[in-house]
Amino acid sequence: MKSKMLLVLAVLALVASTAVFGACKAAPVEEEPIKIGGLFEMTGFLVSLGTESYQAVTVALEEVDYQVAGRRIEFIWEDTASDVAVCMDKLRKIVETDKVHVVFGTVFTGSNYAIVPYVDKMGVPNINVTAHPEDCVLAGDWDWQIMGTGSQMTYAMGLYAYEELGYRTATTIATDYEAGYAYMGGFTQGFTDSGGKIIQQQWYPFGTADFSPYIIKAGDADVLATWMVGDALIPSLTQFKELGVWEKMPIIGASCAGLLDPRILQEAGAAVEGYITESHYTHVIDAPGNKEFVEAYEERWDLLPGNYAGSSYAAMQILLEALRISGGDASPQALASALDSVSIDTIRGHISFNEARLGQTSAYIVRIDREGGINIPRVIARYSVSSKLVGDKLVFSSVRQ
Amino acid sequence: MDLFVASLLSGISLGIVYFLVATGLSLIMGLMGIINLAHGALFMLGAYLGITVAKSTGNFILGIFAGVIGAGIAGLVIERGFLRGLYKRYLEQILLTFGFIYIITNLHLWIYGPWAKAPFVPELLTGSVPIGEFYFPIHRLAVIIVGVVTCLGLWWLQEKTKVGAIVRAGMDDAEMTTGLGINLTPITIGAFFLGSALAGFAGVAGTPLLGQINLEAGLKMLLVALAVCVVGGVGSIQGALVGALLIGISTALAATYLPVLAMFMMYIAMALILVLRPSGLMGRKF
Repeated sequence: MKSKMLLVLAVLALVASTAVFGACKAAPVEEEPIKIGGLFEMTGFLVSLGTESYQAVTVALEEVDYQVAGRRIEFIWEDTASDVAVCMDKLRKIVETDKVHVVFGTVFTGSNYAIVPYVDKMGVPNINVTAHPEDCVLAGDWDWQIMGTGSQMTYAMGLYAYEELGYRTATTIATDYEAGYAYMGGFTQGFTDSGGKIIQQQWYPFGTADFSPYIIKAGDADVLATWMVGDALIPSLTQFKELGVWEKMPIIGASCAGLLDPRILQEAGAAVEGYITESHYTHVIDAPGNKEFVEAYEERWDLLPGNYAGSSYAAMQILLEALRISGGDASPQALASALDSVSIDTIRGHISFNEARLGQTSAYIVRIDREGGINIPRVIARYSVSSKLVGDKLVFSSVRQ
Repeated sequence: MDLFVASLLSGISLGIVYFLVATGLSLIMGLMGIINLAHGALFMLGAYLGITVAKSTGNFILGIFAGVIGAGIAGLVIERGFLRGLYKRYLEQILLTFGFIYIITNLHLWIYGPWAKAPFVPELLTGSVPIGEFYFPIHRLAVIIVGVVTCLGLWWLQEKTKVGAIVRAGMDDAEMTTGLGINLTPITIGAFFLGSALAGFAGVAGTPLLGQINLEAGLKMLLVALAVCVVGGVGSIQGALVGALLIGISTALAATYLPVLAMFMMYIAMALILVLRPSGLMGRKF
């Protein structure tokens, strides 16, 4: 009887002490991590762009071991399926349920039009990795466009086409939606500001796979300028080659969209040889830290980084720098002023923000060479690109470096 | 004039690809009363497999063979393994085969990754022929020729052979045909294989026209095949050809003269037919 009592007491004591020790261990409450919310097109027609973006962000976060300014980083990301409605659902989830401190991503312009008013309403900073149209970007205050607007970047290509390539007339083919108008608009503005003439503009709807009608109708000009996005890239460039466009006139890109994604670049084969285009990033850029990034990305993902990977990494560099400036303070106002003050050399050149929170940076002119059956991008020129808000209009300036 | 001719030829070649995809679906729907929504995914399967084999061996014929057999076998697996017990249970067929679209698409995502694949065009068929001021790719002409030959072959099979007679009888009245002592099962299995194989063939041969193959193709080509069946009528090879050419040509001409309508032509055609002649231009009653 006595030994039984002793046994029970011993067990109770053991349980009690375990509880006490367990509680002691849990006692220091962990500081809340900085929550970065990511929206990526991991499926749907922009899958290659979104996947790249996600992969680059992962490289950036792993490099700093998910920590900045002494605080842990929690990365919460969702697939937007290249669809605006899905994107908004996921955005609401990460902002309202997961309570992220900053939203990062989506390359799809359509989604961005919906995101801008929402983040404005919620007072959450939104970092954009690609250059969206003016009216989208200027509609809200809580967006930091690391590369300004689409037209800002392609303005340089318009200048290059006139000044360096010597073209005087151009005909254009671009996707019939806001990003298409913006990117092609910047090019035509740069080209006409220099003295060139746009003799014809064609716009093709999303989902077009057969470009022969547009090719057949393309007028006689010194050059054909194009802007294709997503799954139109390979078909359009292949058909330009097949249907003998290169025999009539050279083809250039206002901007390369996803073409410099290494997989797409090689898939496109001989069809892109000689194509000259503006690019926000390519792995051959000579900028501080780029070589190291390319190596790290290749080691992590067994692929070379394309346009959106580079831009996303640069955007992460900016975000992490802002968090360092604010001393780890991720509250909206602190983060906002920190972002405004960022001025750093990223892997795609120097980036700082103007008063409209548009990135002042560089654009690269790239030519695709073909050697031994492999497509190789070569940087042939660099332009500084900047913009200023004059009244409610954006004025661009671009200087050859 | 040259513009019109070039557009017309583009439309015909596109229509032939649509015909090759749709005729299998039409045959299966007409003969077996089975709605196989995964038919578009079989097009995608044939395309991915065929292009991969062609690119790694450098042999287009091997690629076509791989695409055809791959799609045919996949179709058989779906039919024998899953659809067999669902004769006339349309809702279950739709749910099941729609699920297969997701399964097949995700399998492709695992195996090939999210990137699109450029088509394989053999050396012989690269290049273009001049038509007035314009160039027309040789591989598109090849598709037209192959499509016409396939159509004639299928028509001969349907009209001039015993197997074809059984198929037609089975389409008109399956119970009566079996009642007459004819074993429909091997015929229907063969028809399912043939229909799926045709989709696979369309995938390999048609991708050069569509520019590339990607993971969206499963749903996209299903829509096309269904539109052709609605317009041309179910269960008729001639109907599939007429419907496909109508949609292909109207899409191509719209793309040239009225681009804003180009993506809608398929749906406009469908809507018109549903209003004016619901069983399709040449359809048997379904």
